[in-house]
Amino acid sequence: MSICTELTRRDFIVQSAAVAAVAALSPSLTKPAYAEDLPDGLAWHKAPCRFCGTGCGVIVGIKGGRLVAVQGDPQNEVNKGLLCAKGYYLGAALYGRDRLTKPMVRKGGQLVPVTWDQAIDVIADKILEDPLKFGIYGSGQWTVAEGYVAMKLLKGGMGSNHIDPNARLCMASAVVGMITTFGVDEPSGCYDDLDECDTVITWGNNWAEMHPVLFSRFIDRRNRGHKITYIDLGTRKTRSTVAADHYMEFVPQTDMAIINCVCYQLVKRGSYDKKFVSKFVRFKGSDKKDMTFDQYTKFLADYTPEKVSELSGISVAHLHLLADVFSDARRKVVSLWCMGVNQHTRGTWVNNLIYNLHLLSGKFGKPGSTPFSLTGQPSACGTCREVGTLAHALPGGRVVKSAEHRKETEDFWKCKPGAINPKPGFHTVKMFKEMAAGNLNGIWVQVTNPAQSLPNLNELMANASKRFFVVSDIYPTATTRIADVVLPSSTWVEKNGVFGNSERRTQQWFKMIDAPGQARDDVWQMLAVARRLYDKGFAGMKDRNGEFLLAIRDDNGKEIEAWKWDVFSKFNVDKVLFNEYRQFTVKKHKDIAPYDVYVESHGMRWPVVKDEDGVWRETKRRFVEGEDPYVKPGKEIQFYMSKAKDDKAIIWARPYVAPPEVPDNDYPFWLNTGRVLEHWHTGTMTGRVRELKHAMPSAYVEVHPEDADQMQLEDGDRINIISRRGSLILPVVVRGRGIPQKGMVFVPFFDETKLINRVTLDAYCPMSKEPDYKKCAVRIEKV
Amino acid sequence: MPISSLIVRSGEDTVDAVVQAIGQMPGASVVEVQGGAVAALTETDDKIQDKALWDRMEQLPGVVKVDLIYHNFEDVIREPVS
Repeated sequence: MSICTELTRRDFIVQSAAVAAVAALSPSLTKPAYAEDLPDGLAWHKAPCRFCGTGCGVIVGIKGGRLVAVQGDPQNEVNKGLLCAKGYYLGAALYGRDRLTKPMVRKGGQLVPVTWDQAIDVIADKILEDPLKFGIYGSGQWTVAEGYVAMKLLKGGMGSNHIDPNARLCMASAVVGMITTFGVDEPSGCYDDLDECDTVITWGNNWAEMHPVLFSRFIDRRNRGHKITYIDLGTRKTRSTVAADHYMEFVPQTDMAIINCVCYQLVKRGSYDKKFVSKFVRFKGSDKKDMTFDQYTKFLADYTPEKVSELSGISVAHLHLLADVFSDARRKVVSLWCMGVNQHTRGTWVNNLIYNLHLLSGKFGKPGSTPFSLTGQPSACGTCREVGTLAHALPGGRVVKSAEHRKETEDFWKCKPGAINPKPGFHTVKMFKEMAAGNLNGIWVQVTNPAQSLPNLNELMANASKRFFVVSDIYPTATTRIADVVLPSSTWVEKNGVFGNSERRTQQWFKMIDAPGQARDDVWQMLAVARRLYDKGFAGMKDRNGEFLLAIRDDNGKEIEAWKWDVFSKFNVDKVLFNEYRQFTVKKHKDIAPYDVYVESHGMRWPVVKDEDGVWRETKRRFVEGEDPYVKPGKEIQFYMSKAKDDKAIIWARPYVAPPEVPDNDYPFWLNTGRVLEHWHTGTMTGRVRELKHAMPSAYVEVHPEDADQMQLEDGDRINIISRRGSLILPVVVRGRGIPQKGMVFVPFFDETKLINRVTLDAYCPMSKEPDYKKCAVRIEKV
Repeated sequence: MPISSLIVRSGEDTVDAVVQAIGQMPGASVVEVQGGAVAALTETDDKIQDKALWDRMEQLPGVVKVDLIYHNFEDVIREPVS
């Protein structure tokens, strides 16, 4: 007798919900079996969440071809059955009334529906006008296969390197920071360290709202009686601050001086980890020359607590407290950061500085002790960083400037020798400046919305209407409105996919439902254009044997006509592309397993290596003996990708540098921008969810209460926020969920009707080219 | 009719008040309590009511965080904003 004959269907759903909650509450309980076993009439399948870089596992319930239920995946170690508010709306975000369902081409100033065949022809003809002046602007929301096929099309076939992702705007500083310190990108630690630590420090990071499930792991431990000290360093009080034991508010940009000050104290006290430093670290100046420890000590001499307190606004006592934390050898410390550090005109250096602190104190590579850079998008790591969808990069950690790397890539792709251009392409800010100047003719935008998210929009999107934009998306956006061709895309569980999250975890999912109307996969769109270029005789689309460069072959090696939708939609092209990409991953020890291994798992962290028993094993902590298979026995810690090949990480002497624009008499306030809990980035999906739209309908400006008193501002008053680049009128919030420091205003960027990025500046980190959205100078006027 | 389960996290000193408050919310019930964490269930007529309960729980004194565990909305699938 089935359970459903004894219970009503509704009773059964209620029971399922209750059982899932109790299981999530009780980590000691055996997790319930995979939800697909439950007799509730739903087909349940696994997928990673569509939103942030945490990479939570979701079990998706499908009924009648529709997504009707979600639950946190209890077997996924990332979230252990929990989901945040964004997970709650995963389903609703797919079903907005204005989903794009037909390809459109601009004719006579209007976007008009055309056939897919016509749209592809328009794109191919435009590329053929000058392939070297055509770019691709992608996303940390691209799946691995989407990023990979874009790279192969552009870098392997078109001889251009003008490809960059929106991830340039959020984590490029983290990439360059890791490469300069460790010789290779991506975090060494993992989320498990949050379960082992006794101290958490957030550096300009609001994880309660931006990475809520990780925050829940911390809160859960506290609720269970674990004593965990939480120190929140920031420029604005947030919901994370509420949980902090210590809030340390600093003047924007002085994080650089603060970290150097803590290092100064460790050296002065002699409380740094001498064994760790002597075995695993060496020192360099910003001129890239080696330094002795004594020279590094002299560099730190400028960062006394008294001097840094005056510069940063943090008390001497708090600076001492930070030094106490890192001096205590027994403490297990996790540092977390995201946009506050990365969107910084010295973002790379601040990343280096946080690593300095953990290396100097030896709080590295031990359970509970790690510096951990968070990402904001679901596959910023898996696609942008690992596939390498950046202007200078090739897959698997390679770069276009290296002849060796180009040759390896050309051999994998079977390109003609010399097909890959050795000159890096335009990074994001430059790409759009070159578009404005007419040095790029066209660009294909996928899964992102630059007409809203780029900084200094008035300059970067100047002349956009005169340029050729192709935009693949699921809803109308600020960018589709200026597009010449709009392509309706499938999203998330409407297609096969693989994402890679912040902790090196690769997660696979299968298509579960059909996309609406004529919407099609972004991978297919790229393949179709590539094939049209081939059919039109474009030599770049032929490999060294004269065959189609982007050929997709079945298990028997026979080419399939994947550029035809009816063929593509019946075949798992993702699997072919993933397994092809996989061969790139071994060089820098970022090994991923074959596709089918991920089908059976709930995510695995690379390097994934097959052991002697034939089992594929993931790696929790990189560079650590006993965990990372590439660390040799007896080494304890081995930074095996160090540029000097000495297995050591680098502590860099990075001085404090003032920001390029600071408040003055004409523009006396800092402007800080960011996200809100309700909306994902530019709000193109969450803006279609009724509850979220009602909860947070439009943008506002947070003003510090003392500034509000001084200017006689109350909630709801409207002020004009004016910078040297543009202005925006917004209603005031004085005591909202966030309180910026005195002399600062904060504006979220989700509202496409109120574009704060007309006000922000486009200055960027000279190493990572990541712009600073967190500080520029503005004045405010009551209107 | 959406059915959801949530975990409401508060301190152990406030959990009794949180349990009592959830119990008084129409459409909400408490399934289990462990330390400062409460497993709660919601059964409402539409997603707006469902989300309103979530928000009310989040705003209860002492509540630090609310996590979603399970959410079934098969009867109210299309509520988009155009």
